[in-house]
Amino acid sequence: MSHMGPRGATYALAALFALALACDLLWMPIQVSDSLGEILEARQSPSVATSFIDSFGSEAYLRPLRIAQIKALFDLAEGRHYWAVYRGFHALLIVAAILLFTRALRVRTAMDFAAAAVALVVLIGLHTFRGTVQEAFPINHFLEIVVLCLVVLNLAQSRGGIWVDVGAALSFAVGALTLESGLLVWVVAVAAWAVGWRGISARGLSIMTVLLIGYGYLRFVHLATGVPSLTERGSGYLLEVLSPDELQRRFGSQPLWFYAYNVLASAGSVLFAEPRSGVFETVSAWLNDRLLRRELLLVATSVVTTGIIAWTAVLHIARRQPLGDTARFIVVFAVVLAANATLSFAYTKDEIMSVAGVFYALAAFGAIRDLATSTGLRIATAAAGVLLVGAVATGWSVRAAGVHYVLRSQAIKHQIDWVELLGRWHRENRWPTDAVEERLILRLHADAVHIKLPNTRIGRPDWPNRLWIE
Amino acid sequence: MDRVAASSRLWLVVSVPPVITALAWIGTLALTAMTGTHPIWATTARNLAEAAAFRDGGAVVRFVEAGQQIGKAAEVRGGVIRSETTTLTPVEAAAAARDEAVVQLLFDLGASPDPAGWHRAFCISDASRVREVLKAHRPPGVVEDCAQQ
Repeated sequence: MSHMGPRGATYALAALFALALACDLLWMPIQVSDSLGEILEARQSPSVATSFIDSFGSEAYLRPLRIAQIKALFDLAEGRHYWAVYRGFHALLIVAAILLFTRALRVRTAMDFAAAAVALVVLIGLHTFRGTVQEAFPINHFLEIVVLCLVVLNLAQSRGGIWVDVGAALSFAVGALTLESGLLVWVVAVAAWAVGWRGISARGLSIMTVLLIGYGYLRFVHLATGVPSLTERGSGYLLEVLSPDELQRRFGSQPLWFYAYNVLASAGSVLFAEPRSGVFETVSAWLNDRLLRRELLLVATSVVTTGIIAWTAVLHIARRQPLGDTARFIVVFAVVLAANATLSFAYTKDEIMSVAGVFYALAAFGAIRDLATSTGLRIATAAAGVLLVGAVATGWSVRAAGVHYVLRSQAIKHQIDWVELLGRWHRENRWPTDAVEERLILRLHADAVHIKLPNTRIGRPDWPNRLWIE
Repeated sequence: MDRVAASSRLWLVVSVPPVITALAWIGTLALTAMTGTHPIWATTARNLAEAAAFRDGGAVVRFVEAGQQIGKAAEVRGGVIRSETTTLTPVEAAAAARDEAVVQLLFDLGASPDPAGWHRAFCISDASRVREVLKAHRPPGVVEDCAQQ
């Protein structure tokens, strides 16, 4: 580190994580569920513009750029390189996310490096991060929104200028028209401006706000798209997952209670790793006498890290300190958490909270750095702090390493789905009669089947399954 | 000043677990790329029957494409479906692994066990879903009674 400096060392560590994740993503077939159908539709669409325009009529959602992007990548594959294009795009996005995250930390000192190293494993180890890598439809749009939010945060931290404002407005437009979570791009920009990161000017914020109002008008007035209903999909509630019918029966007359539960559950998931996707998994495991180390690891690391962030926030308030970067990270995280949880009112899923998860890791960076740079501490007190954070860092590192296990398991599941697909579609008389579509499916099948993957299904060794939640 | 410097060095310790994690992760991937074997999940199928026993559908397809006979019995290493090494046909191996999807895949790929082979596969597995798939491909005249073995 003495040669490259703390900033260089942080980027080197981030690059190692980004490279590992990118390799794991590339070493995975395109998935079948929620993905093959989108690819087949992209083939039928004559152009990206048509895909974009045709998406405006869908119920409950307004996501025209999601479909347009799938079509754009389909065309880029030129009938052959589907795996390379879709998986390559996913890998590029993850590299961009890790590097933008690292840039936002603005590491300068050795203490910053230590805190940044922990923040990186918090980022990757947090269960909400898994949603950005585990699946792709065939693009992982949750990861796209994470990248756009980090772009805007970096722009807010910059010196500003007309192109910064243009970039911020464009990021918002792309995000909002891709997924509902894209509205968080505006939240990040406003929160960053409020705490003093004013690279995006008042003019830039005004443009973004006009776009937000335009989005609201387009969605709720012009297209009357509305919001997802109770019966849209199943959702976790306390100790179980309720089907759409069950949700309707229990909350049909009083949905507000269920929506409030979803908002609180989503926030709790980021802060305490419980509930996950609306279900109190650890409590359920404890009640059924099957509590495992893997569940305890999640809750313990999250609770201690949240405690460190909360303690730092309380100290800043009590001392009435001026807003530094640490306080800014914590305030922006709190705002993003509240907004992200509110957007999850209709149903809870860990991946929807992936943006709040990223800002949680930024807040953890600030809090740990503050703890490390506290002046006037005795060596013994500092050592106790190091022990605590070191233990937490070890826990988060184990969680982060679990992402490799999850991606290997996921890869072989995707391959099995492809292997089974041909026979199943023939038996169900779903095999396409169109020769071009048939060739496309066979191409995707061949791409998927010929990737040699380590076999996690065999159950040997069994310690990964005991250590990490798949 | 000394106190600050000492404290600073002390705090660098917390970066050790993340650094080790990143190096181990990259090292694992590099080792797999160089040797073709993952250091944790190192068990790879040596023949079609083992691929079926290991529930590795991708390997099943690759072995069939490479020309291995789909009905031919081969050695399956001990420790996966039985403690000792055993000789099984791919359909028997998939049935013993209680994996109805791989059993179905083998039929999709052209497996057609003779009555004795079918009966062995049926009786080797007590998984109802596996038996449902086998029943759908039962050769004429075979009884499902495993007590007759």
